[in-house]
This record gives sequence, structure tokens and C-alpha cells, in this order.
Amino acid sequence: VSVIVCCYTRKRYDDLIAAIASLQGQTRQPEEVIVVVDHSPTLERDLRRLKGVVVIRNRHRRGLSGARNSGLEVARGDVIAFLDDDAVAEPDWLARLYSWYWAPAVIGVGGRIVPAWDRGRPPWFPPEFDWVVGCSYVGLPDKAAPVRNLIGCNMSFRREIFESAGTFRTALGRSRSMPDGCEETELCIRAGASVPGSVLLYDPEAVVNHRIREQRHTIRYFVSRCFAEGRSKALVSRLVGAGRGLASERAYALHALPRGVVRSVSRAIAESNVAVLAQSLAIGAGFALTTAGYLKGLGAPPARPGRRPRPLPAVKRLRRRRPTGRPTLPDPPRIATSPTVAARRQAPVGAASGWGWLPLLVAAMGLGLLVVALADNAARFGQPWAYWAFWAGVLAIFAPASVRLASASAGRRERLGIACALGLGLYSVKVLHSPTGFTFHDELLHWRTAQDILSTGHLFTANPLLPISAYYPGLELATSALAATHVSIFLAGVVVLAAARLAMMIALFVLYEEVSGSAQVAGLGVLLYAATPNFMFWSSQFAYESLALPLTLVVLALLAVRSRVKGPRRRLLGIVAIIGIGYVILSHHLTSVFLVAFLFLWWLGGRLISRGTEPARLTVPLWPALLAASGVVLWAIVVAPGVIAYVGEPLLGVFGQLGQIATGHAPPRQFFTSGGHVGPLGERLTAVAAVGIILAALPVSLWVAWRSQRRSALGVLLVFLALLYPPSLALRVGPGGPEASSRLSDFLFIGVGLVLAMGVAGFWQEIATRVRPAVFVGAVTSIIFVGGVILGLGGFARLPGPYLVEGGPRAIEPESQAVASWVLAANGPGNRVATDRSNGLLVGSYGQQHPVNGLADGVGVWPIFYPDRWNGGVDAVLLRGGIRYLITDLRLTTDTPYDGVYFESGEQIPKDGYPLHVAALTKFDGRHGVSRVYDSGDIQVYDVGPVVDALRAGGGH
Amino acid sequence: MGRAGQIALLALGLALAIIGFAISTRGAAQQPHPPFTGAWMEPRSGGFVAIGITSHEDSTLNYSVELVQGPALLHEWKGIRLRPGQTWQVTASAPAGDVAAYVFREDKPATPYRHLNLAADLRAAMG
Repeated sequence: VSVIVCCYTRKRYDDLIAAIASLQGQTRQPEEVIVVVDHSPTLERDLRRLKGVVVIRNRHRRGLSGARNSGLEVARGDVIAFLDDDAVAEPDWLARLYSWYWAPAVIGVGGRIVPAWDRGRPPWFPPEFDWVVGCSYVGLPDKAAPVRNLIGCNMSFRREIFESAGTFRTALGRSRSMPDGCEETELCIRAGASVPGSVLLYDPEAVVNHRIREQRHTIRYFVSRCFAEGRSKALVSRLVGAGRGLASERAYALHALPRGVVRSVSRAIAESNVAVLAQSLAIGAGFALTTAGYLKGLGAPPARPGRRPRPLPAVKRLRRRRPTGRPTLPDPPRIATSPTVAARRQAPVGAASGWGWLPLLVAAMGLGLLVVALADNAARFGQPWAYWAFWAGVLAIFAPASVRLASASAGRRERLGIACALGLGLYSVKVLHSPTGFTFHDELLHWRTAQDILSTGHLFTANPLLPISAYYPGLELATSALAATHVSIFLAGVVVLAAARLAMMIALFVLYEEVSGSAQVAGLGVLLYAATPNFMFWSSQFAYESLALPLTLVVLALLAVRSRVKGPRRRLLGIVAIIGIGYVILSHHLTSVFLVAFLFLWWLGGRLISRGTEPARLTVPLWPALLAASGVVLWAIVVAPGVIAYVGEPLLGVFGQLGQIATGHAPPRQFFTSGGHVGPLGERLTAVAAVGIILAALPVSLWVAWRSQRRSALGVLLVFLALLYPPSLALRVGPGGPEASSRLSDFLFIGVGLVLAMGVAGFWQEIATRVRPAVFVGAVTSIIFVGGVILGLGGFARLPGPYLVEGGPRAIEPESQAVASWVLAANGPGNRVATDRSNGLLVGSYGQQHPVNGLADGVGVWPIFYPDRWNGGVDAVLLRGGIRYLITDLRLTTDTPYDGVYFESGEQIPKDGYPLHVAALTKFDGRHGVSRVYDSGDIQVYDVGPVVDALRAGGGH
Repeated sequence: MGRAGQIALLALGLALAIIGFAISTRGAAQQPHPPFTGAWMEPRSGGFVAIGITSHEDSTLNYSVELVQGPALLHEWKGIRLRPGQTWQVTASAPAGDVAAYVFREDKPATPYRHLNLAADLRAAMG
């Protein structure tokens, strides 16, 4: 920010020094203070001795406009503020003005000018006419709101405005001899017209105190100024048209002045003070004089308006001096373009502190969780109303929070609190689903790794369910450490992930706030991130990425904060970030690769942006990227050499599928269908609407975000991430695409969340003129959230309930658990087993067996089970897999698999083999050498050891 | 709203959430599942076999078990009364060769409720 102070006389020297001192005492320091001396060599000579200010002379014709233009020509700030030489700014003046510029639509911000009368306010002087002495007057908004024009004593503009719309007209404005004005009015109107949709804001909390010398206390001065103002208005009207030139004045004359008359009369009566009654007379006289001046101005021959101001040339900008601490300011309000909308949307300045609605929202979330718990129970007992109760409970958690986070009036602490409560509330929905043990697919895979760490006391024990999990044991390590205090792995895991979720919400909030400079955008961004398909269920499950992603966000937030602090705190943040990077590498392969890529691109973005005319903001040095990359590569080489195949093959598979679909060699996947089960129409429509809303909102949001972030290395990268979201949806057409797309969106939504939040705050609220904007935004984000939940997890798995064939958590039930326990008790751990996906999970985790599968062993077991008769294919797989036990589940013959596969991804289903035939699963009965060692009605365990031994011996069978 | 009111609302929210967890935990424990009985048979060394039953039925049931070799009935156990969660097991001798075990519910004696068999090769491997 550059601040320009114009002066013209040695008589005000002391005032000028006080003005400069007030600038040097700002909580948000200006990068430069420019003092323009208007043709006064004596004064200029005296001022040259001052330190910390740039003193220049007015290179234009005498007068305030010329002086301001001279200052503009040397100013290098993104934002240029003006302060009168006889005004003293409050310490937070600049911070308040600057805080509004996060919104791209804001082109200028001004504040309140409080008259500091040398002899006290003359009793006859009406506050409605404080503009006469260059101060804020009754009639201006009493809360932050858009206005037509700012007042010169206390105003600021984006530099671009002067570059595009030009500078002050030197034909207008005050000079030593003429008390004219309106140069800023004309500039404001011209600037507003040059940027459609732009806003000039008046923030009455950004205060300067304007000295009113004795000579301005007089009726004579009042008369001359009123008349001159009217004349100036006439000139402005000629330049910009009467419509725009007098729009504010009409409202002022029709509302503020009559109220002023009534007020002064009633006060005079109440106080029995005739002098106060004179204010009403002054109001009338002032109005008449101004009108007379206006009419005279209209009747006079057209004065030469002077040359059209030339645009300010671009200059090398200042590097932003970032504040060492975040000012405790209220959020800027949303930007409105009409006074009526603006009035409804004003932020109650001063509501920044306190918890606000948080306690109420926590109560609502508690109620929502209670309803979800009741819904879960109803689903367990087969009650049909469970479905609607679930959505009611979930929306009770999300919707009120979304409305409040969209509101302009919430304080920062309140927003952060709501974000944390929302994250934990949605995490709790997942915990309520299975409150006594892990039931989701990946949870059981990682339970096995945690159990191995606890039972063996060391890392990297082979995990046949998910071999790579053993080599990325960050989550299991933390869980085991907690479980070692004699709590179950389940409980320890729930606690660790709750802490991770809390850290994630805080980190995301801080990250967004660092980028946008706004707690409102930060809160909205977190809210939109919570609408990610995976957020409520998948990212809440006991799986390695559920810890790695929060840690990644913590690292990014730490580095973002680090970029603006100095000293020991900077070092400390760097050290903590290094530890975080290390733990991410230890926790999850893909997330650590994402982190490396992000850090490199962040650094690169900073370098590229800094090549332009201005230095980049929010940059990161190269060392975190190098450190992370070294760690990832070393870990992959030394500890987890199989990771490249594990990550690469499925990725290639997904792209291969897309290629086949694109070339017509394979049909696209049927949306909203899994294993032949189609989702309800309402859910399908909601999911499409959610994606449609995001896609529709993205272009404008990207534009809004780009405008404000194009010099921020971190901001640009997040915008880039958001750009990748639409093409990532193409993955959904492939068979393996939904999972890949949802997983990718965990990363891409870091950008999408911010971009949409900036779009919502900066633009989209503008279209909600018929309903309360916060309610509108809350309703739209709730649709996005519901659609995300639908896309993230099949309806069959969202609620607990009776057994479903390969129904994810619905297939984890006592009969299968009893088999897993029996196999371990009867035969010990580590036997090689062939079975379906769900029984394999249980027998591989709680049963501690080795379910043979394509991922761990390179042997898919489905050829054993699909044929109705025993054939050579069965022999081959038994032999290759070294199978000892077969576990069959006759329930598989009753339905198609809800998860899409009976055994594992890539299984090849015979043409007529769907659903599985009873004969396919009973063909082992009576087979020579096969023993049926366990039978629970639905599930049988066969010992095929002798058969495999015979095959090994080459004797056939 | 005063501080006391805010704290009261926070406490209310937490209390509702805790009640929700309690309800859901209790509901998960009480969730109805189809009843079943698990039966097993394993070879033991020295020509023995071990047979066991664990009841996960809704109520107490009476079972009977037959151990056969071809058409020959080797052993029969009747009046095995198991409460839900209770286990019964026995070890019995059986000549070398394939053996089979049938578990019957005494309230439905016509049809074997569970069926197990041990192949001769498996028993031989056990020694």
C-alpha cells in the first residue's frame, strides 16, 4: 500500500507531522508514504529532512487534483490510499481499508472522517452538512456498505483503476483560492463505469480524525462551501451525466435532510435549546445554497473540463510487506451492487469476537447426530423411515453450518469453530455407522497391519490383504502406540482419526485464510471441501490416507504461514513442517507424491510470477520440495520397492479402460449402477445437480479467484488444481473410474473449495437477490454436499442393516465373523485361503489367514468358484495359489454383488454366471480328497490340502 | 446470549451427541441377524476325530450328532442342549477312511441341519 498526503502550506506543518506520525503507527504499515508538496518550496525544504517518507513536488498545475496525480505517478503500491495533511488516522485505519481488497469486485475503500473541531462543533452546524468541512456526514451508511463515491480525506483505490480509468481531473478540485471539490466524486464515478460490477466501499470503522480549524467554523465558510459544492456538482454532472452525478444527492436530499430537520427540531424542544433549532435552518439554507450553486454552474458557459486524464503508466510494484500478525478484523461483507441488497448484507462490524452462533450450531449438530443414530438403529431393524431420518440428521449437521459460514456477520473465531465442529460432526456420522468395530473394506485391511505391529512389536510384517499397507504404517503406528495403553485398535483408531480430522479442518481454514486474507472465504472453502464425495465416509475410515491427507494440509498450512513470518517462529514452523513431511511419507504413497508435486509447483509458480513486474506473494522455497522428493524416492527404494507397481498398474488400468472406451472397444460404465443395482432416481438427480452446480459455478469463480490470486504463488496453484476438476470427471466413465475420480477429488477439491468460496463470496451471492444470500448459499452448498455423499458411497452402505451380498459394511456380520474366528482357533494363523471378497477380509484380518488374491499373490481365485463343475482351471488355481482352505458362502447365489465384484477387481464373469450358481459353490461336496470341515448353513469351509498335495506331486486329481 | 447460555448450548450439543453414540452402540449390539449354528469336524492323530457345535441361535436348541462311515453309524450323540453362544465338542475314534458327521436339530429330525466330512487322505496326513 502506498499512502499519499498532499500539502501546500507551512502553516499546517504540525498537522502534517501528526498525520505522518499516525501513518507510521499503523498496525498494517504502508510500504511507502508519499508527501506531495503543492508548489511551496519552503515547505518542501523543511519536509526533505523527514525520514521514512518520500517527498515530491506537484508537477502539475496548482491544486489538490494535480498534487494527487503527482503522488500517483510515483506510487508503486497495489493499493493507493489518500490522507489529508490535517487528518490523523486511527491505528487500524490502513488495516481496515486494506482488508477489503480480498474481494476482486472492490476497487476502492474509504472510511469515516470524524471532525475534530478546534473550538467544538458550532451549535448551529448540522451533522448532515459535515461534508462542508470535508467529513463524513449523517446520511452515509452507519455500517460497511457500497457507496457511489468516497471522500478525499480518507479513501483508497486499487492502482489498476488509475491505470485503466485515468487519474484526477485537474480542472476539478480545491485550490488555495477556490473551495471547490468533487474531484474524487468524478473519479469514483468514472472508475465505477470503467469496471462493470465493481464496488466502492465505505467502512465507517476505518476512521481518521480531521482537524477543523477555526476559520471553518464560520457561517461565511459554510455558505461559500455549499455554493461551491453545488457548482462543482454541476460540472461533474456535465462530465458524467446528471443521472450518475446526482444519484446519491437525491437520496440524501429526500431522506437525510428531512430527518435532520425533524431531529434538530425535536432536540431543540427536548433540550429547550434554540441554538440547536438553528441547525434545521442551516439545513434548509445549506440545501438552498447548494442548489443555487448547482443552477449557477449549469447556467454558466461550459468550463473547460481539462484534458481527459491519462491512464497511469504501469510501474514496478512494491513487494508487499506482510503484517507480522493477522489483524483482528471482522470479515469484509459480501459485495452488493444495489443499496437495498447492500443494506441487507452489511456486516455488523464489531461482531468479530465471540463464538456467535457456534454454541447453537453445536447443539444443532448434536441433534443431527442423535437423529443419525436413530436412523442407524432404525436401519438395523429394517425400518423404512431410516433413509429419510439419515438425510434429515446429516442435513441438520451441515445446512445450518453452511448458512452461517456463508453469512457475512460471523467472526473469525466463530467460523473456525464451526469448521472444526462440522468436520468432527460429519466424521461422527461415520463412527455412528459402525460404533463397535471396523466394517468398511479398507478398515479391515489396515486393522491387520495395526494388529501385526502390536503382536510382533515391529514394522513391515507382510500383510496379505494389502501388502503395501505394511510399508506405509503411519496410521497404524500412531494407532498401535495408543492401543498399547490397553485400548482396542478400534477405539485407538477412532481417536487418532478424530484428531486428524480436527487438524485437517484447522489446517484447511488457515491455508485458505492465508491465501484469501478472509475468514469468510476460509470458512466457505472448508465447507465446500466437506462436500467432497469422500469426506464423510471414505476419508473418515481407518485407512492410511485418512491420516496422510490431513497431515499434508497441515504441512501446506505451516509453509503458507511460514512465508510471512520471521525469526524463531519461522524456523519453528519450518521444523514442524519437515516432521510433517516425514510422517506423510511414512503414511501414504499417493499422498506423499501429491505433496511433492504440490511443493514443486508451488515453488515453480513463485519463480515464474516473480519474473514479471512484481514479486510473487505466498511463495515457498525449494528445500521442502527437495526434501519431500528425496524422502519419497528413498522410501520407495529402501522400504517399499513394490509401490511403483502397486500405484502404477491400477492407474494404467484406468487410463487403458478410458482408451478402450474412447476407441469404441469397450462400452462406458453405466452411471449410478454397481453390480446391477441402480441407485434411486432422486439420488441420481441430486448427484448430477451437485456436479452441475460445481461445473456451472467454476468458470466465474475461477475468474474471480484468478483476478485476486494471480500474484500469489499458492493461490495460482490452487486455481490450477480447481481447473483439473472438470477433466477428472471423465474418469467416471470407466469401470474403475468412480473410485479414481473420488480419490482424485480429495486433492483437487483443495483448490475447488477455495475457488468456489471466492466465487461465492465475490460474485455468486450477487445473484441471490430474492432470498437471503446466506440461505441461498447454504441451500446450494447443501445440494453439493448431498450429491457428494451420494457419489462417494453407494446407498446400500450408508446405513447399517441386514446382510447384503458383497455389500461392504453390510456383509460384515456374525456368521462370517464366526468362521474367521473358527479358522484361526482350529488351524492357526497364516493358512492360504480362497474365498470371496468379504469373507476374505474377515478371515484375513480377524482370522489372521492369508487370503490368496491377485494383488498380493498374483493369483485371482475366481476361476475356482465360477464354474459349475470342477475342471482343470480349478486345479490350476489351487496349485498356483497353494490353497489349503476354500470358504464358500451360499448367500452369494442370492444376489449380484453390491460392491460390483464377488471376489476382486478384474474378475472375469462367465456369461451366465451372474449371480453365482448354487452348483458353482457346492461342487466341492463329495469331491475326492476334499473335506468339509466347517458348516454354518450359509458358509462352508473345505480343506483341499490333500488335493493340492497330489497336484504338486504331479499325480493329478 | 450470555456466556452461561452459550455453555449450556455447547453442553446440550455434546450431550445429544453422546446420547447418539450410546444409542447407536446399543443398537449395533442388538442388531438382529439370522440365527445359525456352526459345526465342525477335524482329524486328530491316532484315528480320532473332533466334532463340535456352537449355537448362535435365538433360543436354546436340542441337537443330535451322528458320525458315520459309509452306511455304518460309528457314534451317535443325542440330547445335546445348547443355549445361544454355548459350544459342545467331543472327540471320538473312527476307523481309517472317509467319515462324515451329520448334525440334526431334534425339533426337525428329518433333515440334517449341518453336514461335515473328512477325507481319508486328510486323516492319513494327520497320522
